[in-house]
Amino acid sequence: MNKIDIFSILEKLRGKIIDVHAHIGSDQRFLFRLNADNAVKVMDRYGIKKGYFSAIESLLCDYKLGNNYILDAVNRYPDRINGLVSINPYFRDEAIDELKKYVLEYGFRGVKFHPNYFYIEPSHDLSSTVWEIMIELNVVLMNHTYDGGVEVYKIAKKFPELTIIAYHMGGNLWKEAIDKLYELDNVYFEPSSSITDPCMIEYALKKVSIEKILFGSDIPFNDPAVSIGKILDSTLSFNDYEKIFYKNAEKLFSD
Amino acid sequence: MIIDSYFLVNDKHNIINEICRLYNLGVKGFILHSVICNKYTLYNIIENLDYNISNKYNFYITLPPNLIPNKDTVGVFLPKCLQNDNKEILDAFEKSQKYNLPLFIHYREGWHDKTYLKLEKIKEYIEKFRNVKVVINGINYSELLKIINLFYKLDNVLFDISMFQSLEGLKILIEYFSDERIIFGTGAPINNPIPNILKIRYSTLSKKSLEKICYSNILSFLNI
Repeated sequence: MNKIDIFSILEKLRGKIIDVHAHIGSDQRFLFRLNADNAVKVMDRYGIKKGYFSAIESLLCDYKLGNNYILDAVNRYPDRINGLVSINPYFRDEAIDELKKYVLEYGFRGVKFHPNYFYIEPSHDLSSTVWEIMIELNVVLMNHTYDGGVEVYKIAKKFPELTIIAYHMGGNLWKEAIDKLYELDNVYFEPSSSITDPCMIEYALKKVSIEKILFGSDIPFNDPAVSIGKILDSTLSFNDYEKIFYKNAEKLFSD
Repeated sequence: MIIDSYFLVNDKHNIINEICRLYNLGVKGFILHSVICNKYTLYNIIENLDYNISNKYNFYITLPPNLIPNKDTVGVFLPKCLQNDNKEILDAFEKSQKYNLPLFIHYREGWHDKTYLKLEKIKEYIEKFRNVKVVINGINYSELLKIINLFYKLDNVLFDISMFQSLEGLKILIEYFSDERIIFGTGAPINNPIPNILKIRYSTLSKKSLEKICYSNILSFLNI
């Protein structure tokens, strides 16, 4: 692929890209502060039309506090920021009420779940209660995976009606995650992470249908260039780039 | 113009193809570092590069300490395979000092690989060899506070941005270390270089800062 190819592809996609993994919020471990205004500026820079956002505060501080931040951002940028509600299963009935409120009243389309920060496995009984309600509500689970897909495999098998996006595509265990999850119809793959091994998408596409791969940036933990560069590292037709960068997400979320 | 200050010579990737690809993406110079310690394998690869691409592409080579002195090298490289042995690490710093060559340290963040030389240990050596100029390659945001804490005042230490992935991460590094201490690198072909090319392309940094990071810092650092 030459210089013109990559840059012209991105220009052709400008204003269409859908980012299924984004955050606003602060994390002083890394000197991050990203509010909705600045997030939209970053999206403009890379030609991202809209993003699915959760708040860092939901992970580090209080899941409800972070959900409030996201609701505020969605209200300010309804065409650019779609909300993901973060749910901490340890809060049991309160968490279920939070889930229902954000889906039914505010129209949020997905749930952000981070096993490491919430200190609970997706396959735990307390988590399973949340997945059952999510199936009733018909919303998508965005699950952090740095475990080679072990936990997503368990819940995807147990809840075949639950649609799951494997955030980070397994992280540094990305090959293991693809090898483990590729046969599951209800699992999608989102490749953001600091890992930039060559040919990651090419490897995935040997096993996974292109319709199951979604673009996600994980801003502000990663610059959007990281995930964009992973996708453009594979040589695909423009139609296939369109699928990964926005058409698959449009279909999944009926946008 | 862009110079890739962190291109990794190895025997598992098609190096010439990757150099050609990067050239087409705007990278016009390469600092090649060997992650191979076997000198015969390494010399074969370098001879092959010299034969095939030296007329077309600008490249400079660093070598592991056991191959120093060498009239063709622009620096010393400390690959991972030598980092478990204190004698090898010491040798790298001593050779850098003796032959007045900069030292490039192949590093990876602790989140993803805990087997590399620790930043604290790198600092200990740097403080012992204050006149050795050092580039730490492969830092990432997960260790940002530690990097600032340890190296803030050591102006003989530069950082490459091949693995520094966070949004606006480059701006934060510049805030603490200035744009004089940051250099562009890709880690190719072991890493996919396209993310870093795009980061530069879509950067909001000033043109002057980008010029320093993309080529002028490494050129003056290596006196080439």
